[in-house]
Amino acid sequence: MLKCNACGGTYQPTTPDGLQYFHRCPPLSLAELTAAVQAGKIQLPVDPVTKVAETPDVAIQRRSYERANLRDENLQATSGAGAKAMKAAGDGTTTLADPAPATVSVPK
Amino acid sequence: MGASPPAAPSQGGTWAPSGSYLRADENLRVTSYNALASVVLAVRARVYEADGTVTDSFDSHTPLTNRSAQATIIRTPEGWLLGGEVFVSSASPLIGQTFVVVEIVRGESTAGIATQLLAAGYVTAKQPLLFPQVAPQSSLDGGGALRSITGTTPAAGAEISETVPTGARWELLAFAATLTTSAAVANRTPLLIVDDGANDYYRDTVTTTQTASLAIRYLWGPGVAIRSGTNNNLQNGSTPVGMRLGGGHRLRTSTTSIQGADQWGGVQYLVREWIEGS
Repeated sequence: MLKCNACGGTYQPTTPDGLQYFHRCPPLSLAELTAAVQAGKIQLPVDPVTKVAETPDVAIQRRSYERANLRDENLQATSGAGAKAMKAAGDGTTTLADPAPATVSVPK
Repeated sequence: MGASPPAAPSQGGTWAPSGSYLRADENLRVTSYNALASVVLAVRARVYEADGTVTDSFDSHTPLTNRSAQATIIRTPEGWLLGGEVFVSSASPLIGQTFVVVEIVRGESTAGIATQLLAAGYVTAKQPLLFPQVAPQSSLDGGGALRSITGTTPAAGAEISETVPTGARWELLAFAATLTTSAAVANRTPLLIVDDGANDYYRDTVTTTQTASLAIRYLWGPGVAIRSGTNNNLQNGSTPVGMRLGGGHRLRTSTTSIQGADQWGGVQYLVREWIEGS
């Protein structure tokens, strides 16, 4: 089990069917965007209709707010040099203990 | 009285053992696009040489596991390519997971110029790819591989976002996740968004808000008739039938009034997957 150091999401790097899983950080949620605005990390644009700054709940419906340090494990391309590199390493990952499996056999 | 053997074949003669002549500087190139771990392919080919002998080749090819291209040169003698096959010798890929292209190329470099396509198609443990092939397949042909995928569990207060891997194409069949709300008083309404990585092209919201201290499982599926309200802590939503998503497209939630201690989890979805070959 890996934990993404950018978004805090946790995931298995290999799915049960034996395929690689490629994590990508989600855009900011409303709670995260609200916190970022309150911390002064970002200013929301002025609404062209109301002439006042958008509120986070409006802004998040109009566009995606991505993390500057987002991790995107997907390949840049499927051939050439891009096939060897992920799109964005972000802040890396931390290895965690694996959770209990989805199916557990109980001894007789 | 037995039939007499045919006259010796020649490049410009009246008959040839096959339609594909390999010159001395030409070889076969096998290129794979694979998603499954531990797959190994065997490549067999038979060449009728000018002196009448038939030479068999026995080679192997190990694909990569991230859907990116991997090429191998199969060295062949000069002569007529009678035929061959590519088959799975390790692991059990499904239709939609291991796509193979066989070509004639000039030289011994995997970057050599291809002069003729011989075959293209998926291989499985039960289905080899034969060449030369009359009608090469597209990697988007067939029913695809059915995959049930466990997604990322986001941090508290964050949303779900699942991305179609580079080199894959998905058809969404079902999407499920559980939202556990904190004690903070608010009316949360989850929305499922499908976008191209930046711009959304489909949204579906559920019909009932979720209040504090509840755990509700949300289920979206193609063409599902939406039931109003929450039944046994389940709510459902609908997505378009047959909607296919390209590499980099996303399935994600956006929850109105989500609170910092709310937690999405149990992210599970069912897709059909093909190799995009982009």
